[in-house]
Amino acid sequence: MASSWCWNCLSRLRPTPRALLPPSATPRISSAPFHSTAVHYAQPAKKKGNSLTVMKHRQSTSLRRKKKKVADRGGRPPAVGERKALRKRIVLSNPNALEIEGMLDLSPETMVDSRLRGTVLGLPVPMIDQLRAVQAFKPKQGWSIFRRPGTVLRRDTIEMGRLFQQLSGEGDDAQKGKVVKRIVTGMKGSGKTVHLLQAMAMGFLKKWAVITIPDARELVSGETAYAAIEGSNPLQYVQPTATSALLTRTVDANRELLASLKVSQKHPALKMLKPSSTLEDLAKLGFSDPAVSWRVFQALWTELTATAPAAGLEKDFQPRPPMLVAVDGLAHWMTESAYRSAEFKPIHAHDLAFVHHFLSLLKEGDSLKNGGLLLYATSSSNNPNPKALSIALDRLAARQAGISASSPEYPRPPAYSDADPRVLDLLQPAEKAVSPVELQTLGGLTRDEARGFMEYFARSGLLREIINDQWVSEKWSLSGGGIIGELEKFGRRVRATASASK
Amino acid sequence: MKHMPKVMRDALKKSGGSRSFSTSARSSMNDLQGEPNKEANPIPNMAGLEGASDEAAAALASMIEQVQGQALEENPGLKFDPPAVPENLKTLNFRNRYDTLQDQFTKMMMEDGKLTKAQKNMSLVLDHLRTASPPQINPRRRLLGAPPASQLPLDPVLYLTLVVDSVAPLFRIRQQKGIAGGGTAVQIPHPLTLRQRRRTAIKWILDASDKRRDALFANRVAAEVVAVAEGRSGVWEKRDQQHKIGISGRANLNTNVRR
Repeated sequence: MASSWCWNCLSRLRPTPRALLPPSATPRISSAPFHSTAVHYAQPAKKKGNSLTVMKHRQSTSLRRKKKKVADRGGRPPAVGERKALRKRIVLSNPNALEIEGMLDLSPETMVDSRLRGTVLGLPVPMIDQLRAVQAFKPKQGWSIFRRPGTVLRRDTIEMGRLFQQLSGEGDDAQKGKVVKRIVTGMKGSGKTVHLLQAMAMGFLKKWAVITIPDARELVSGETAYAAIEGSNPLQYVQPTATSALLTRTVDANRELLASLKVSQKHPALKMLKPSSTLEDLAKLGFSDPAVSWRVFQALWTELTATAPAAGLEKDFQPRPPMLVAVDGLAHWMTESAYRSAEFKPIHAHDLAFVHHFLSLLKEGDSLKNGGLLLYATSSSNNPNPKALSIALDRLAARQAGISASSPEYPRPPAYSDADPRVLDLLQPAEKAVSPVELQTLGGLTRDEARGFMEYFARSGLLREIINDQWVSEKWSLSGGGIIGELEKFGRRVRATASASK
Repeated sequence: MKHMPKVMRDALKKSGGSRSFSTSARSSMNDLQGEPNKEANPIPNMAGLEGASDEAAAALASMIEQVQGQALEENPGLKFDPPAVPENLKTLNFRNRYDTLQDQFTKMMMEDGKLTKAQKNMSLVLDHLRTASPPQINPRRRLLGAPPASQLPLDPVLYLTLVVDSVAPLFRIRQQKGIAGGGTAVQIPHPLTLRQRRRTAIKWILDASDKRRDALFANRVAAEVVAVAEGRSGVWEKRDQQHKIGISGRANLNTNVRR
């Protein structure tokens, strides 16, 4: 079909002025046989060469670095609780370490023997499961490099051993039925937790009932369930899961003892309890059902502190043994807890029934009817550092040093300080009364004890040094006067042997 | 200058100079130096003053002189005995506290300049070596000059040193252009110092440990060290490869670069 345009008309077309025509956005088709656009309207030819200065549109212009490829570690994150289990793992034996010949075990005889002072006594092997059950070992302690766990018999240990002997009613000055209440403090690394461990070991040796709270923080950090006790004034709160865990610990550790004791009191709150059952059965009621665990714990406590059977249950009543109560990290109980009340106010730690129960044991009077030992240790590595507790402990030390409360040297909270009055009152004795609580401050080892401790490292094959008096006293000075945690670092720190170092 | 006391102005004039300000400072030492030296030898002077204890003081002075003379004879240049330096200086200076290799390994494990974290990891590695069961040595890949394997865990630093030294290559391969001509590079072995050799071996061990699956970095490194000790690790192949290239390339050692 012929075009309606005539060739003449086309040839008469004048080039349009440049300003009127915008440069065409369409690409030029060079192969088109017919094109009406003049050459100078075409887009400029692209420059050749791959220049970096070429602007990129619709892309980020910022610098992109190649990321280092992360190695694939199985493609999935570790299972729930796996890493925590790894972190909390406690290893008590190193088969590579040398066995120490003639190493004595802790026993009722050795724990009071002052000739053995400064030697390391092994913990009896059958007892280790019990100590594990009460969580006496902590993950960061250096048990894992020795053949078997052992502790130094230091001055405080022997003194505590004698105390155990007295309170059990043995020896010359037997004081059966007495309660000794102690708060253990000391510098970081001075062995407070291991002191508690030694106490637990002695308790097991003497067949006491051992009840421990290995970490006081867990009760106030808001990690376990809590519920208000209805009708209590001031309002108190129970922690059923934590109580259930305490019952489990106690039964695991004291199984033999609890199985030998029969129920001797009436417990109307626990309907499912048979009159002939043992204390182990009683405690087991609280394992499975956290709802009754607090009542079960109270029942167990009345049983353990009972001095005489209730009417009608005299048949197989046995006298109850003394008790050891050990708490680690006391300072956490001296502030407000992480729990909140219904009004969203912070709950004071003393309002938790569990905490209140153990703190009330520190008050005057025989809180443990059958006698025993209360050891409440502070911690310096995990310490909320409440002001009121430090003042209260200063006051305790002052009272022990014979400074009366009216004298000007008696420590007082600074003016306008917000020291917690509940904490200050807790450790304050009533007028003219003797303070029921003793303060025990752990210091460093003596040089002889330090030598025994370092020899333990050397004889285990871990320390390759010649242990002489000069070396020991150098390390004794470097460790701040025999602070055992620092001494342990010197024992652990690996130094090369002469053949390897260059 | 014109407000100065006349004495000082005179002194300035004497010294000459054309500055309008003073650059002089009166030294108080001049006065002291000018005086006769009375304090230098106190004992004879005191003896002169006190006639009563003359003989005793003289005896004392002679005794002191004698002792000092002896000391000078024994240690020329020292008045007193030189201080006794303990043999194990490693404990004294915190920079030299650790073994050389342990220090080098620790610093190569360091990331972002966090040395304390690296030291913590190193102590975990050493604890792993100390507690893991002794390595089953592969007879084809023995550690250099090692004691029996059962003794290794008791000296973890020696263990680590032996592992690193045993897989350390003797040389690196230098790619030299311009010898063969035509732009091809010639592989020439180049000897390494002890520290450089160890550095290469540590780098290989750390690279190989990256491919392991343990969750913890320290565990990965420790497992790789044990694997090297048992001859299972790929680091040995790397070293063998390096040595093979080096042996074939040693013919090129004496060739010179063409200009």
